[in-house]
Amino acid sequence: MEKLESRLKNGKPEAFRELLEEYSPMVFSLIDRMIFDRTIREDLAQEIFIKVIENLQSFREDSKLSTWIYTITYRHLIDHLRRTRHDPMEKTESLEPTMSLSTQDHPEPLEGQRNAMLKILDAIPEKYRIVITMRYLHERSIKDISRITDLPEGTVKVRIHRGLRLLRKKSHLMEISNEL
Amino acid sequence: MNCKEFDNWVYSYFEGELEGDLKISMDKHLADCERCRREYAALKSLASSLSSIKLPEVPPGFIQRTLPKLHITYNLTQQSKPTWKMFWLIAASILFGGLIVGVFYLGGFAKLQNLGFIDKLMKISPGELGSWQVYLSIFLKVLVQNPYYVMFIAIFISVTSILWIRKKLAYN
Repeated sequence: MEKLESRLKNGKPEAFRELLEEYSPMVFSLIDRMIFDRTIREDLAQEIFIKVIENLQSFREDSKLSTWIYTITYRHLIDHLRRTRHDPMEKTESLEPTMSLSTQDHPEPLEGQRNAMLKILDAIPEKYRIVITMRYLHERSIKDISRITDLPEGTVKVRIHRGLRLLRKKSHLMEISNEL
Repeated sequence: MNCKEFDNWVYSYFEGELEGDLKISMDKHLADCERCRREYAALKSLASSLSSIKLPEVPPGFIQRTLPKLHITYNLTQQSKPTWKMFWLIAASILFGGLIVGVFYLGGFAKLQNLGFIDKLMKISPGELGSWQVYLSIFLKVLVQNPYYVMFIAIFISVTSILWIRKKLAYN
């Protein structure tokens, strides 16, 4: 079967649906970790897919479609944050060590654990949160992350490591506060 | 190796990037140091918890709401967007038209005349020639007497080629 990128370039109608079905979860996942204003998330996702269609001709068939879409998503969100003068550190202060992250609101323990982990992840500075999301939630390689973010591989690794340390520190504090 | 050195390399170690003596030293330190072992286990567990987080659900109806916008965008951009391929084809068409003008209009044709081939062809009576040669000699005669026709023909060929190429690129 013809590759999705070729069908998209040729304007095959079913290819647009396939594009949305396959890549929307990934796009929304990155939006969720980078944009905290829930009201604009869908608009941003639509803008990203429109950008993908607009730039189809610049996609080189020897590269990976998922990495290309991922790069468009990341850069669109970074542009949005710059445009809106969003303060990436804003969220860092929003999670106090005393804040309870108990699973009372979430009846299923696994779901509660997931939400707690995401809350802690959202509480660390953006520069760490983004690379950790790419590496572990989306399973991107260090090389891919370096290409997507335009950062040297060494910087990506340092950020992931520091981010993980921060996460550990935060989750440790949460455990203590929950015990109190 | 001490704990500080271990900590400097622990992430590369975790990613499986270390080799040789450095890896052996890391393995040894990990086996000997309880504190670093605990830290390393925590790092692994954290990474594993993060990896197990599922991607979020896409808002209901998102695909239905977005599909028409993608079709409109495609129709507006892709079918009329110039590409490098198209640019080179247009450039080639213009060059082709220019060459015809150059040969027939800007002196090239006179050189061909000097060779005597064209004169000879035009002086021959139609009865001596096959039908295609008759048409060719009439065509050349008209061109020699009306050099501007050459320009019109060249421009016509170029424009037709460009329109044809555009159509091919837009729908293929």
